Amino acid sequence: MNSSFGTDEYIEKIVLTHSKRLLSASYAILKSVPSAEDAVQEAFVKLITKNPIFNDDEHEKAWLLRVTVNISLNMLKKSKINGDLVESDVIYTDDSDSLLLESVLSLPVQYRTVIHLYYYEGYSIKEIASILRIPSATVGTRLARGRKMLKTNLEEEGDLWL
Amino acid sequence: MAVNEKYREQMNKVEFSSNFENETVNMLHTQHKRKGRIINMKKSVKVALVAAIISLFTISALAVSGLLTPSQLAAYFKQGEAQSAFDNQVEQNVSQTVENGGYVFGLEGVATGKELEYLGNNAVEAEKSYVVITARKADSSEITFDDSITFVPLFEGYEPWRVNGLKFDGASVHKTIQNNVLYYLWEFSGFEAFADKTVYLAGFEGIAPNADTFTLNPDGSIAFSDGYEGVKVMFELELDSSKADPVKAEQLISSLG
Repeated sequence: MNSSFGTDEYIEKIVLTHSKRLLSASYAILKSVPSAEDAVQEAFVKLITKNPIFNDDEHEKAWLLRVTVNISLNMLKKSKINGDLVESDVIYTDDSDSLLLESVLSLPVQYRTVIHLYYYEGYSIKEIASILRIPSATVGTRLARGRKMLKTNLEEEGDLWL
Repeated sequence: MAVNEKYREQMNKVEFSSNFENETVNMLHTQHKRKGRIINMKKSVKVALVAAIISLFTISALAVSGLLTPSQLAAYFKQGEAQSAFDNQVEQNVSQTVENGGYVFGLEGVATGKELEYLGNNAVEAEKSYVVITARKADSSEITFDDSITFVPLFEGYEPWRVNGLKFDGASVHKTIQNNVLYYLWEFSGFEAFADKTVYLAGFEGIAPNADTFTLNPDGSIAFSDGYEGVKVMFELELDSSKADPVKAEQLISSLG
């Protein structure tokens, strides 16, 4: 049980530890910086209000990631109905190459979500299946199809798919 | 550069608001303090609150036993789904009590996916189960919050330290003390999938079940280990076996790695 749950130190620790990865996961789905920030704040609020039990830090991380992904997917679904989500351009701190990221973001959401968790978070197919609550075989199929689409996109752009 | 490194590098260069973390921390502090104020306010008027509830439910279990009903407890914590689940229970759960370690523990209510599905909710909500447990001092002395006692669903035939309800996502707890009774409202996910087996709800001193605390008998039943000397609570949940889902149960187990 989280003995320090809800303390100032606990809140600061979870925000500083998890913000970057949660924002990235949400951005991979929503392609919008302001919406990703809203989604991640909502996930943290759920953590504070629901007081979930975690076995360890990895469990806490996976829970937050799953909640963020679910919130983001729900926001995307609602935005398609309401038309209220404005995608941001990829905003960089410098002029670096962003071709791979742009290619991932161009994939359908079910593929880019899996691709993101696999390449950014380094989760296995089984772990992604557990986070998304879908069968491992479905994750494997989405990963294979997503990679195939990426390969085609990047080859067309003259980039090498490693 | 490997694809994962390249992707991570490019994603990490996306600019989010520079004050996102500070704003989020401040917002969460405010949320948490507001939640605390609501609870404190409720504690300060708890006698009036309980009296008001009693007046509204004169023929309820509350009036008979002096305890908040599971539905009232869920309402107290503003847990709408749990309250609806308890309100829509088709069958009334029979309460069980266990006296151990100077406490009297009561299993006051279990609402599972059956009630939630009745409400037409989605599959994730249907996997949720809510359990209300009470604890009182056997000698009627003042009870205090005791964070050392954890409740966990355990499943016949599975080692408790490998497969247990706290390992599935979604476990959470709300606690309050009312009229010298400590109430727990636990939320778990997935345990109804195991309804074709004996599902235990065990209370023990610790954070996670281990082999020092529990033992799996050769016949698949689960008991406390001989050497364990802490508080021992073992309820057997009466679940609807028609709601068992062996495929889902195996998925949950395999997701544990």
